[in-house]
Amino acid sequence: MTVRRSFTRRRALGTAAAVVGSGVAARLSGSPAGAADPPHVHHPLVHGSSHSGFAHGNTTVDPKVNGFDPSAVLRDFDWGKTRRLAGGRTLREWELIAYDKEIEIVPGVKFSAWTYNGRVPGPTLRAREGDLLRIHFVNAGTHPHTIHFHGIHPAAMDGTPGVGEDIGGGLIDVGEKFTYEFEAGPFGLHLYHCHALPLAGHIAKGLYGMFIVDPPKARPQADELVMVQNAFDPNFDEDNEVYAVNTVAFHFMYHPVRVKLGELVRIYLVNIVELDPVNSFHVHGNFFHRFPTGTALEPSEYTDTVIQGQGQRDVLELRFPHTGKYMFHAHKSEFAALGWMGFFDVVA
Amino acid sequence: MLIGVFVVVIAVASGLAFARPWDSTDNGGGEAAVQRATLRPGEISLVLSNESEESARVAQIILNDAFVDFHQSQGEVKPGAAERITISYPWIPGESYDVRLMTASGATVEYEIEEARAGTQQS
Repeated sequence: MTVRRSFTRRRALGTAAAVVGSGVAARLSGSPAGAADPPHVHHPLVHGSSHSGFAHGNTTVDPKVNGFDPSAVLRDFDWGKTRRLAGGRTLREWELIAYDKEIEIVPGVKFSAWTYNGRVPGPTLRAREGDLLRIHFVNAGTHPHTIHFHGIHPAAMDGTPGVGEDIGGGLIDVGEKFTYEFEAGPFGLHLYHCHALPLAGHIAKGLYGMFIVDPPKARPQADELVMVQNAFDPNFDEDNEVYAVNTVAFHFMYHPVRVKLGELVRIYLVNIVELDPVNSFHVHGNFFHRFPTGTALEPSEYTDTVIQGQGQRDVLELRFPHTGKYMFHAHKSEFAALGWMGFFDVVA
Repeated sequence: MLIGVFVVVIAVASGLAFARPWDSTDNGGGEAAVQRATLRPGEISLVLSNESEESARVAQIILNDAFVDFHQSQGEVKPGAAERITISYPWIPGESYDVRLMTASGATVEYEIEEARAGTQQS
């Protein structure tokens, strides 16, 4: 007998099942759909099925289980509670509450996530350059957290532990609150995430979201889509097992992104995957214009594949000249086969 | 020669808290192991034995870093029981395969086929 070259983190912890109790038994045996689940599990990229092999059904996560729908996340832009200040400036306010929540990341598999407002990714916050922003943060979780925004702002508003504590910022303890206030800028596609330590752990648990700052003169009208590339390590072996866009593996294989023939499609693409150095996005049967970080209005590249490191983001624009189904997926094939793949469905 | 080696899945709340101080949940599981594997053309069949005191359910299977289709006879494996799991897969003689059976909690039971060959191999 040959010993495997690697073990799960769980195994390294040793055996003591007796102390775990019945709650764990439920976790091990539990399936969201209960005991009536058919004993078959199908996936779209395996022998016997193809890229269009999603007719088997019973392979997706019911959005009611998680309380959010990856398809709805695509077009869900939160402009905040808005009012006009004296002098004409716009004030936008949001409340973000961090709390723990179990979510289903691939059919039948639960993950103990940490969330902003109960969803992964958190709400897509959107503003225009120059707006005044107030983000009221409440830590209702079980560990200290922060919100660190990418963008230009004073140090005390940066959501970094040890910085800004004299005014109540820095690390926000359990049960505490803090309001981040700063001006939106520069225009572009940014993100926000928890910056508590261990940093990789807090991000990988789900504390991140997209932060879009529109240019003063709006971009051309388009069908706009939020795609947050993320991944999960449910067995804690420091290696991701599940990859996705907007959290649920294979979701867009079974629920293709419907877009209109010839219409301008704008994708806000962020890579927030931990434990892997790079991710990528590739679209079939088409090319897109790439606006790195969305900070310029002229594209830098015309391509069909973009590579992103951790925290990197791009605005992509394309039009589909033909109807039909077109895949999009990570061009790192391992990530695709572990859940990061989907379809556009182009209709007339 | 087909060699399979089982790996047990275990987790203890206190142990996880030690290993991952940010994780306070009670994730965990009992012991489960692959007892034997049978390879036929286009198919890998595993017998999973649950030697723990808790029921187990295989929710997903990852084979060589890809989720794969599979069929299981019952779904839930009661304590002391065994389950046959059949994976449709075009395995190639002589190549190695890394199989991870993922439970509902995300814990994995791992099994390695070091050199695939038709037939049955006990762990």
